[in-house]
Amino acid sequence: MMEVATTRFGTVAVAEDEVWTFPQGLVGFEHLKRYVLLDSRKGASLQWLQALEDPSVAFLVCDPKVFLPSVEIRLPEGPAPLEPEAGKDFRKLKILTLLYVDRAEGKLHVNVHAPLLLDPGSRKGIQAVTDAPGATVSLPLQKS
Amino acid sequence: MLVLTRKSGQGIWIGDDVHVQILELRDGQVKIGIRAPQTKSVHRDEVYDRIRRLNILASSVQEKDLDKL
Repeated sequence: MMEVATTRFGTVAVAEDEVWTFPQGLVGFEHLKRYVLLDSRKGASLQWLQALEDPSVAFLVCDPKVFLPSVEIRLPEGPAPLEPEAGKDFRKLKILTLLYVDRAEGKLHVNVHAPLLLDPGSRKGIQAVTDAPGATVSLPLQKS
Repeated sequence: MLVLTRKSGQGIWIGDDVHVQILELRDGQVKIGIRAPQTKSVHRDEVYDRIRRLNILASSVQEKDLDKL
């Protein structure tokens, strides 16, 4: 177990096999490669993806199937830079979407156009960017 | 910025694993082919900027924002 400092949750104990590695980081956060998923106080359907290399960086994430069952998350057609084995079968991947607060509306939104794909086998992840031009970026979060 | 002039069909190598080729020039648009290893991500400017902006917004979500549900 290692002790990880976080600004939101204080010191958190993380086992090495709980770590998710994003070899490319997330877009705009390319320098942060190692993360852990922590359940939020709302339960396991909403989790925090806490960066291990920066205490202040954590992303609220959800399983889009739980909150947005009607929304189809489109995976990129191009190569998925994960392990070749995982890339062959998207069904084995865990998919999470990032939430953000629309400050004008004061509501949580889901970014459905840049989902995180996590491969439980290698514990590696990427942020997939689906780049359909002109596509809308987000939908307000609905409770299912 | 390195500036190179290329004709349709010509290309550029970046390092030894990224190849960029000008495929077609028409009506003020350039069609570009990119061959790169799977570990390199390639995005249009506007898409990259949009996702980066949303990621920065997402990183500022705090515990209290859970009450907005």
